[in-house]
Amino acid sequence: MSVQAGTMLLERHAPGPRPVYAPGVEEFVGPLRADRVGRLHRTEAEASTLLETSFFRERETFDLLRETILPRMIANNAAERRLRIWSAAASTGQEAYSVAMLIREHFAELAEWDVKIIGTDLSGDAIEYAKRGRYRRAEVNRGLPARMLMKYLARDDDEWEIHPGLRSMCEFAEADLCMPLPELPQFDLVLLRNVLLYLPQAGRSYALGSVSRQMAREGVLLLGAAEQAEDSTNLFQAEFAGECCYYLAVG
Amino acid sequence: MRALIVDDSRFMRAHLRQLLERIGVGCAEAADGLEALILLRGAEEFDFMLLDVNMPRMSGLECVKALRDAGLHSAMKVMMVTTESDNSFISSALEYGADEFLMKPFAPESLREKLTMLGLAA
Repeated sequence: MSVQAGTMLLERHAPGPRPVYAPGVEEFVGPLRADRVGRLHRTEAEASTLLETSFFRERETFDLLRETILPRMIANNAAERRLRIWSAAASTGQEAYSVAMLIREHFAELAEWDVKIIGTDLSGDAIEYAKRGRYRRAEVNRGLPARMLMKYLARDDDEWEIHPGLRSMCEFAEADLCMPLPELPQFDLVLLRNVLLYLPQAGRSYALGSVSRQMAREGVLLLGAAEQAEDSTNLFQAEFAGECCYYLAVG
Repeated sequence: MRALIVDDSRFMRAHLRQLLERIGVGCAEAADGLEALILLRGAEEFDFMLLDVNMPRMSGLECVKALRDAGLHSAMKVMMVTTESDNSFISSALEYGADEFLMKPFAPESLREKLTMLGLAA
């Protein structure tokens, strides 16, 4: 671990309880080396995940969902009237709730469908935060149009709470993409954005393999704008729409 | 791209100007709603206005209502930038003709994201 990386880990903290702190890199790494039960390793792994997120992050992705991907899925799944969407690095929940808002706003026909958005993240603290569905001023200020704020969140004290109708569309659970996954359904759409950037190649391959096994036939994978599934071309086929790229599960 | 910054706080006007100039937006300033309306009746064109709410002489709400009622600069986007944050207040601002709403205090990236939403920044 570089001094810079160690310093970053010491400085950053997740919402909720603060992680273990140490005054310097050696003091931080030493207990990790001696950590037999893995408690500190878990804390370190959670701290090293980046919780940076916002509502409607990378707007082009949501345009792509609205204009191309969701209409196609609705046509494909018209018989069973069911959609399963996975926000695979859900952080504090804004991505999952943004997808729910997009569906409510633009796809009224899905109100009668069985639609579930499942958000998972390595960080238990982030998942607890997502489950609360309550956001602070700095969070609703980011990426969320004022009209959507009015329509889908209710002010309560110093926070804004996601409306129950949207919350009922979303479920959250802990999952580590670099470990065997908990029981999850087959997904029609997976958002795995801004995660692969931070994984070594072996981790990227493992995560993409796990994700591909959770995808339904003709399922779609969306990565972050700066990510490509270049080392998993046997699992996914790239499709292009304007400046955006998405991936179809192969097989 | 040109913006009109309307705020009775000189510090806030300077802060907003600095953030906007950093992304290539030229700025003019007004210290209240009335001064803004006088400027807007002139020849200068603006792409958007950042408008505080609680100001002497004429509030931001009165200003945006007067502007929209008069049909002045109808293509100009108006974003309220204010400490007000009640849902009812935000609803009123949108009804009066504001296009977007940013709550103070805000992070620089929040301003940038809101401008992107309005098609005013990349």
